[in-house]
This record gives sequence, C-alpha cells and structure tokens, in this order.
Amino acid sequence: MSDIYHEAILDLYKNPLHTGEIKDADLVLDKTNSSCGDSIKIYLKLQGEQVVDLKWQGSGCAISQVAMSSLADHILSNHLTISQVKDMTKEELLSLLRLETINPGREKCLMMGLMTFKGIK
Amino acid sequence: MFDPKKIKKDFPILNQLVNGLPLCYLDNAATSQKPQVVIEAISSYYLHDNANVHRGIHYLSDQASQAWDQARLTVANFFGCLPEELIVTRNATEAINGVAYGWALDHLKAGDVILTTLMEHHANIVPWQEMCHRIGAKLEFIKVTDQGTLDISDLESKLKNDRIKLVTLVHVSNTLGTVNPVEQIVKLVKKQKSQIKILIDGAQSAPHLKIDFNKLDVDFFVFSGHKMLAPMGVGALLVKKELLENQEMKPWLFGGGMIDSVTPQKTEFNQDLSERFTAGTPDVASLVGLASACNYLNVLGMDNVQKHDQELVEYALKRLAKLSEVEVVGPKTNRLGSVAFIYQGVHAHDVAQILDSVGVAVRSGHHCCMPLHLQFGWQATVRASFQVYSTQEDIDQLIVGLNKVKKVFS
Repeated sequence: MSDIYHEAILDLYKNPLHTGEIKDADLVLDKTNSSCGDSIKIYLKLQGEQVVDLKWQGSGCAISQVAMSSLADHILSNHLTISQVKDMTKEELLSLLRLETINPGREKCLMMGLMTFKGIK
Repeated sequence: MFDPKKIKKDFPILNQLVNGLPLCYLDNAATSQKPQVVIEAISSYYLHDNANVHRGIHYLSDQASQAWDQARLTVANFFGCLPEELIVTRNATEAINGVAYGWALDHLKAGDVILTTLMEHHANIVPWQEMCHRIGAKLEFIKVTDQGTLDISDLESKLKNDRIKLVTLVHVSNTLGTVNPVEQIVKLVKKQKSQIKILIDGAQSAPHLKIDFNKLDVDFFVFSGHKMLAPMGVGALLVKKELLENQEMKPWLFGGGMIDSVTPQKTEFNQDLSERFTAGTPDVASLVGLASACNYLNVLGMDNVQKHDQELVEYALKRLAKLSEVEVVGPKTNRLGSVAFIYQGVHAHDVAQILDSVGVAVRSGHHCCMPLHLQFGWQATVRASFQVYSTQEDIDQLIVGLNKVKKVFS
C-alpha cells in the first residue's frame, strides 16, 4: 500500500482525464464489476481500427478510475488501434500508473477499463 | 470472566504483524479465525483416528465412526435439535440449496410463491430464483424500511396471498446488522397458514446468539461452521423431524452411505434419518472441528458471547458517530455482529486498502447483498465485524485508520 495512493494517483482521481460522452460514437462499451458495483462506459470514435476520439464515464474506487484515465490518455496520445489496446498487459497498465505491483484483491479494479476493451469481439 | 484479550491468545493467527502493525481482524462476518483447540482437534483426528466411517470392521474405522457420531451429537446439542434433525452440509449456501432441491422442487407448483426479504444474502436469493425458473413459481420480497428493519406490515399484507408455500429470511443481516424478530414472524406466518414452511438463514446469528432450533419452531435452519470458529467446509441444515419422517424433505444427493440395499434397478434408502442424507464419504475432520468450536463457545457461554458482541457494536457505533465523513448503515438499536458504513467521498475499496496499511482487516463491497445495496443506492459499503476475540482496542485502531483515510484523500 505504501505508494498506491501516491500524489499523482490522487490528483488523477480528483481530476480524471477524457471523461464525458460522445453523442455520435461509433462504439459504446459498457462494463460493471459485479463484485464491487463499479461501472464504466466508454465512447469511441473510430477510423477503421484506430481510436480517434475517446470519452468515458464511470464510478468506482480510485484505482479503477485512475487506471481508466491513464488508459484513455495512453490510447489517445499514442493513436492506438483497438487490437493494440486489446494486446496491452497488466504490467503495462501498472507502469502507466507508476506502480510496481498491486495486491490481487485490487487487480479487478486496475484492469476494469482494459478488460472492457478486451471484451470487444 | 469473559476477557477478549485473554481469548485472543487462543487464536495463534491473530498474533502477527500486518504492514508492521498488530493484525486487527475485523472481517469476522466473512469468516472467523479458529482457536488452537479446534486446529488441534482436526489435527488429532488425522494423526490418530482417520479412516472411512461406518462399515469398516477395524479399529480405526470404529474410531472415526465414533468421532463422527460424537461430533454430530455435540453439534445437535449446541443448536437445540435432535441428532437426526442435523444434516451436515458444506456451508449455509449448500444447506439452502438442499431445501430447494430436497423439498421445494417436489412441493411447489407453478404460481406458488416463495416470500423472502430484500436484506438477504445472495445465498438466500439465487437458489430461489433458480427454483422459480424451473417450477414457474414466484419470488416475492418483504420490504426493508429506511431504518434498515424488516417492514412487518408489508409482511402481514403479503402473507394474505394464499399461494405462499415458503417464507425464507435471514436471522441477522450481514450488512445492516439487523436482528430480525424471528419469533414474531413465525407467529404471524403460522397464524396465517400453518402449512407455510419457514427457513431461517442463521449464518450471521449462529456465531453470536444461542440458537434453540426446537424453540424457534421453524422448519429449516441453516448455518456455516467457518463463521463460528470452526473450519471452512462444514455447516448444517436443521430440519424438523416430522418433515424427515413423513419424507416431505428428501435427499438431494445420492450415492453410497445413504442406502440399505441396492439392486441394479432399485435402491432402498437408509431408514436412519441422518444417514439418509449423507451420500458419499463425509468430512469427518471438519465436523470434529465444528464440534470442538461448539465446545469452546459453550465454555465461554453464548450469553456472554452475545453480550460481548453487543457491547462492541455499541462502542463502534459511538466511535464512528464522531467522524463526520462516516455514515453508518442499518438500525440504531437491536443489531448484532457487524457495523457497515459509507465513507463520504471515498470508495469502500480505497478505505479498506488504507485500513489494511494500519493492520486493520475489514470487508468492502456489497457483501453479497446487491438487492439491498440497490434499494438504498449504495455502491459499496465498508464493514467491520466482530468475534469473541475482538476488543475495543481493535475498534480504536479502525478509527486510527479512518483518520488516515481522511488525511490521504483530503
């Protein structure tokens, strides 16, 4: 726990990135984490496979919300495609949050946004 | 004298540091820790007595059979039921499923109603949804008041439906801490129609209250051993003898051990009521552990256990009331076992993680009570829950942790 709630994470929790709604989204993704009631909704504008705009709305714990902010920012600033997002790992997500590890009980929180992408058929 | 600090020494696991601080275990409603005597009883069974029970013509099989029979007797005595009324299961969930498959499936018809409450654990909702799906019966819910108690007038009005066949409810809520007025409810139900069956989920009451199955006068009572100082993997379904004798309640698991004779096409079941429900090799060691936990609680005295728990709940309510960010859920009085709360502006998981950093173990989430959380619009709550070894100092440490939450998230 020593550094899970480091300052950057708390800042990002209070000031999330890329939140909102895209009215004419090409794809809307929805996920709830049934074990804790967290929910996330992601709106995507796509050009082919590439994500050209992304907004999200959600409610949940600091870890799930911050992970989603960081993921959204990473996708947009690196112009990722859906399959590149789907290939991302837990470790990559942790490094975006500048965390080395997370205890197993919080993995679902961390992975919520990414798992939403991985669920795209 | 009941001294929780002395009692704590009986639980080796509690004597450890977590994140550099003494472990302060307040997740007892999820599972309790086990005293040394229980661990030794299980260990001793495997060191000295283990063999398969019954039908073995050798010394160890006799030892194991005696251990099994003695443990059954101890547990039955502890719960005020006859030994033949005790069906050993893995836990309360399996016991409720036993009533669903062993009774409801044969006795409910399309259009019949199962009445439960909105404060149930999923264990007492999901099996009934499944039964309703299969049978075409309906599941109805008694309302919970804004104060977190059962709405008795709603119960009275719903009871007028003459298709109700089963009323199934929790004795003590694992989220609200509410102690439901079981005696009053039994009277109301039986007055309406004596044929309605009643099931009480005692998962959260058995650890803190003296249970007298005979006196409760319900048809089914279920509990989990692991919440009352016994090992995981053992619990029970108590069934009124009459329902076993007239075979209204039937076995739902089939196999060896429960039979008198088997021919290629037909089986005669064991006439011994309890044997009839024990298909396959039972978990003797865990039942021996459960019996040992019952003996341990008997020495402490269940009246003292209840009083201690109530004092802790009152103390926790008093301390938490002083924190302006904390909103406790559930009734103000007549509660037992646990205190759940919302920390304004901080998610329950974040609260739990910070509490863990000061050695405090609590549960965060919906505590398997999603319908209840939905009714009150809670996303998740933090729950501190108590056992015989819990102390006021544990609650003080919880408050220290909550002050840290304030610091981190301010």
